[in-house]
Amino acid sequence: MRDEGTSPAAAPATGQETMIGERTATGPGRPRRLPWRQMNGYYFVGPAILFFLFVSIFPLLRTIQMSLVDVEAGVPSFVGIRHYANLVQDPWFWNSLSNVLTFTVSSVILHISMGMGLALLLNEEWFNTTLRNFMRGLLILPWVFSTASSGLMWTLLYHPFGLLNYMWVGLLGQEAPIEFLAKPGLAMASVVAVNTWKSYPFYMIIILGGLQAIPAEIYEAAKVDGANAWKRFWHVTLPQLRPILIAISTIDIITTVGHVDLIRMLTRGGPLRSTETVAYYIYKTALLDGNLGYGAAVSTLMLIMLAILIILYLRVLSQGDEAGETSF
Amino acid sequence: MQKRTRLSVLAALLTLALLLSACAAQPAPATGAASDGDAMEEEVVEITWLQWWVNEWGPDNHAQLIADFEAQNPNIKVTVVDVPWPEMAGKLQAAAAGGSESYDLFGTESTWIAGLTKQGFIEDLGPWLENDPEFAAKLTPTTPMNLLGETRGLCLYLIPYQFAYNVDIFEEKGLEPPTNWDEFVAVLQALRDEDSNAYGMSMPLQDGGFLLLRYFNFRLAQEGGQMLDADGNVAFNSPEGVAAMTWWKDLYDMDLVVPGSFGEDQALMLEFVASGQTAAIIDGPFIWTKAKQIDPDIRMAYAPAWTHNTGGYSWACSGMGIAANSPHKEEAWEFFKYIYSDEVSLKMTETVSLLWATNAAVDSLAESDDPMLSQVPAFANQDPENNILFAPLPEASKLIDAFQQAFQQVLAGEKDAQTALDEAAAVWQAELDAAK
Repeated sequence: MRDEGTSPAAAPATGQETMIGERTATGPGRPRRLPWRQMNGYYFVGPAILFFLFVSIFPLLRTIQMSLVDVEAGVPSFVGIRHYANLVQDPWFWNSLSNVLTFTVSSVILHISMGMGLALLLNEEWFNTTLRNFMRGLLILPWVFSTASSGLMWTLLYHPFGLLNYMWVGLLGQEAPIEFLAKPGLAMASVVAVNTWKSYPFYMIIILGGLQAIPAEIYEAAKVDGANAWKRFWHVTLPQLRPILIAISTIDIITTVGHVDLIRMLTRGGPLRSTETVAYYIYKTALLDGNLGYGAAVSTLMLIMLAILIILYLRVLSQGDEAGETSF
Repeated sequence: MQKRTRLSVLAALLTLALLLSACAAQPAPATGAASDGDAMEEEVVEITWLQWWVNEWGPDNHAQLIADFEAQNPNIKVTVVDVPWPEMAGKLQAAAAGGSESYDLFGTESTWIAGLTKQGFIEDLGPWLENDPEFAAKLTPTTPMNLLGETRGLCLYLIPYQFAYNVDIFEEKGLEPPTNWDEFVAVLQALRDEDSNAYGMSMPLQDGGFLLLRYFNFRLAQEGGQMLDADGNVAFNSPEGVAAMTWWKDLYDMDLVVPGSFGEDQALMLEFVASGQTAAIIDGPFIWTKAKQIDPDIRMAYAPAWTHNTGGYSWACSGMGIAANSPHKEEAWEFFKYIYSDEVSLKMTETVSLLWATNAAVDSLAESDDPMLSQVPAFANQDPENNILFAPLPEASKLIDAFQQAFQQVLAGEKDAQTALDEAAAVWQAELDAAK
């Protein structure tokens, strides 16, 4: 049988019969069929979509399903929203939520501000280019360490017998060592400090890339208009970096909320659960206690809360933008 | 075009089918007789053992154990998956949650048993023991790890907790090992040197199970208390429990243990002991083997058994279980019989200072010259009714978390001992009632 949809005779006489004819051969009276060329795109993206479904959507649906089920002696039984009802009354969940809020807000602020400060410094003209390049390499170094080795290293540095306390007690003559990871009030600050140290290079590099993409002419024009360094930063640099800052802060929020490894290495959520974040609580509940249903309920609720937070965050930041300025 | 479309769809379907088949479970290797029916040699069955003991027992010892078993059982091959202890609970629970068939037998702590049972991942060994009375007779009465009347594992080695010390440091400082709680404090005072910022002992409080066994239960047993009463109800918020908690609070406030206890874990504690930064520790007999891996020349010994109101001691065990979904349970059970044999029990007790949970090993201690293990019979026998054996608990992690919270709150001065223990007891009792 002839394939009418691809017949040059069936195509409008536009001078581009072959190409256009293949794309639009679904005119009145013709059978509606996706032409070959039109299907090509689906074939190309098909594997990626299948992969995405397999690694993202399937686990997500499975987590939601697990949150509605309890397992006893290996036999699952449907419990409806019981885990969610228990969750709302669970003081340790709210404790972990409060902790993750503190951890995330302070980490993101420190990551971005430190990354920005150092990127500005590295973007300046230095008297010695070799020194600048050396400093770039040096500043990226913390990012090279794995989280496990960073955690171990800082555990030793923070310890009462560690280097920091050696300087505090031995060199500065203080009476007692600082219990960085052992005092509830101080432990969170100590963990945030390690997280900042570990991750700022990533944000520094991204911001540095953004800074180098800003045309020098804009700064020249601002200078001609009499703008000092602060005004140039506020009115030129920041607006130009805005799309990048929104993108990296969003990435940072998502990454920081999900940290389990660092907490596991440094404090295991202690002391007195003062550093137990939601992600660590999920790890503990699901993987250490074996309560997968409850852990899945915490995960699902956390996912919903994080999604709402990110949407609100992006909406707030996008308000008042000129069209397309903050789209990414 | 139609032909090309069909071919493309066919190719896509084939690709999908290949992907799905790659994800499908592998067929279990046959364990029975040879399928071809002819004179094929007996098939070698591979069993996989998930555990954390290669370093604790020493790689050579461990490898020799496996080699000897395989020599005795040429139709069974043992593949060892060694995981650091801190990662073991997560690895096991993940395997249980996923219904993994990767492991046939595994090491387990009492505290993990409840979670594994909940997931249906751990075999009830009761029927296996009933069918094998000769093997069962080799085990001590405390070897079965029982949860709600079912034997979910077998203790591999028994662990008493007692004051252990670095012999060289004690000799150098002219100190004698303590023989009671007051001398224990006196020794720590003698080892404390404010000028050099030296301490006698560290006291890791980061892990709930760790502090429960080594500190609270030790003193509780000697006060005459128990964690649970004979009916299985919570008993640790008794006057004896309050006295035990208060004693540790007083010690903590005396500035005699390394600061930073709330943030300290076992690994750091071991480093301090092995490097000579601290001279004493409360731990199980395996601590010497572990310390020797850092400093091969270190000499450690247990203080002699001591008493307070009673002569009871805190005991725990690490054990083994069989995966309920293992296709090789018979072979795994053969390995159990080997690892609990008199031959292995005596060898391991002698070479790595671990008290194997068999009658042969316990009996052998009477003639032991091991400075740690030679003391153990006294811990076990001087007041057996007041010993506290840490048995599997339902929702163990949750209960231990609640206890850790109480212990830390008291030491931090946030709550008094009675209030904190009552709060923890309420959490425990609710879970115990639910399990009943």
